[in-house]
Amino acid sequence: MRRMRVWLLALLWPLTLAAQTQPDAALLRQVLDQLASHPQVRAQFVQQRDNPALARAQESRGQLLFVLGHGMLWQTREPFQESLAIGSGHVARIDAQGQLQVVRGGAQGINQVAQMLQSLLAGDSAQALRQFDIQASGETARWTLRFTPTQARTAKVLTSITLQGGSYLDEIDVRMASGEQTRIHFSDSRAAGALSDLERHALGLP
Amino acid sequence: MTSAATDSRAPLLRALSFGLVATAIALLGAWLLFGRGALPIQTDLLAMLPTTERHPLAEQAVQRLAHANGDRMVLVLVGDDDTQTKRAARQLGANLQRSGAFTQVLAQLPPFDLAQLAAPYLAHRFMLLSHADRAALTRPDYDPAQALARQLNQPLLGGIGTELQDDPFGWLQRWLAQQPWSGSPLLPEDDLLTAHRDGRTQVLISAELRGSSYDDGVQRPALAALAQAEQTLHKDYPQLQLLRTGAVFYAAPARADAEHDTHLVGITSTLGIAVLL
Repeated sequence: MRRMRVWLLALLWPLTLAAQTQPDAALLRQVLDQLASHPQVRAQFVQQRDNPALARAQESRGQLLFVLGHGMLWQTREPFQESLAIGSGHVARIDAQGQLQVVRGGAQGINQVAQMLQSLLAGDSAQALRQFDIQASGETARWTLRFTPTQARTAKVLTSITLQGGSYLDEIDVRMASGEQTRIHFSDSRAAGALSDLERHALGLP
Repeated sequence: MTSAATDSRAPLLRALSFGLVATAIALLGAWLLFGRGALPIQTDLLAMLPTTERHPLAEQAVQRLAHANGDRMVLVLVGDDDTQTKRAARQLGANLQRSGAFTQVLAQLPPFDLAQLAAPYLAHRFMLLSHADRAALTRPDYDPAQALARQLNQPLLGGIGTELQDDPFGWLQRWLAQQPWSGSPLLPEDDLLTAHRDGRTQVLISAELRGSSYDDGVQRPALAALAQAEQTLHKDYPQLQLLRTGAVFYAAPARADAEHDTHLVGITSTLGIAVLL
C-alpha cells in the first residue's frame, strides 16, 4: 500500500511538473501529497495473474511492507511461503535463517519496476515522463492513474500500468503486450509502526 | 719526387674517402629513421603473441572478436538536461559519421524488437542454465511444483524476454540475466542507449574505426575527427561532458612513445659510432 502510494507520488510529481499540459495536474498534486504523508505502510495483498498460456489464473496472497527510500518487503504466504526484499536495483530472497540471497535474473522485471520506483521516490520525476504518458482521473478520495509507455520498444512488451486508490494505493493493474495481466489488490493499509529486526535488516535500515 | 708527392696526398685522400663514406652512412641512417614516414612499429601486443587456437578458424574467430571490441571508440555524453544531452548525442554521432573516419557510428539505434534478443538462444534453452539453477536442480529436495509456483507468482510482473510457454520455470530468463550485457544500466530510450545516474543523463555513442586501433593511418584521422567534433560539441553545448575509452586512445600515445624511444636510440647509436670512428 505504501509502495503504491510512493508509486503514485512519483508518478504524480512528474505530472504536477507538467501542469501546463495536464488538465488534472491539481488532482495529481493532491494525490501526491496525500501519498507522501505515509512514509511507512503495511498492507495485505492478493495478486492475480492471467496468462494466455495458463488454463487458469494464478493467485497469491501475503503482506507487504513499504518503507520510503528503502524499498519493500514482499512476503507471500499462499500458495507458498517466500519473502523478497525489493530494493533499488536488486531483489533478495530471505531464507529461513533470515539471510539475504540476491536473486539474479528471474526478478529482472521486478527489479526494473523497483528501480523506477526508487528513482521516483528520490524525486526524479522526469524519468516517469520520459517513459510514460500519464493520465489522471477521479478525485483525491478515489483516483486512477494510467501509465502508457511512450517508448516504442517498451510498448512492444508493456501495454499499460494502472493505479487506483484513495488515501492509500488500493490496486495495481499491469497489462503486458503478450496478453498477460497482473492485478494486485491491497487491503488493510495502515502506518507500518515499529519494524522488526528482520524487516530492518532486509530493507537495509540501521 | 713524384713518389713523395703521391705519398703525401695519400692520407688526405683516405681521410676524404672516409669522410664521404661516414657522411653517406649517416645520411642513410637519418633517411632510414626519419625519411620514410611513419615507422612500422607494432604496438598491438596481442598481434605479437603466437597463435593460441589449434584450429585456424578458431584463431580467426578469436582475432575478429578482439578487433570487434578493440577497433572502436566508445563515447559517453553526460549532461544534466535530458533533452539537450540526447540532442547533442545525435549531433555528435552525425558529425563523426560525416567525417568519414569511421565505418559506422552508432548513436541513434536502428529499429529492432527487444523480444527478438532471446530468439537465438531459445532453441538451446535446455542447455543454458544459470549456476544457481544448475545447483538447485541437482539437490535431492528440489521441488519442481514449488519452483513453478514461485515463477508464476512473481510480484508485480511476470517474465520478460521469454514467453511463459517457452520458459515456464524461468531458466532461460535467469541464464540471460547472468550474461554480461544484462548487467548494463544502458537501456534504449528515445532510440538512444541511455542511462540515468545521480540525476544526470548518460548517452552512449560507439564509433567503429576503419581498421586496427594500432594502425597509425587509422588513428590519426579518427582522433582528428573526434577532436573536431568535440570542438563543435563544446561550442554548442559547453556544459556537457564527453567521456571516452577505447584502445585507439591508448595505442596512439603508445605509438608516439615507441617512436620517440626508437629515434632516441637511433640518434644515440649513430653519434656513438661516429665518436668511436
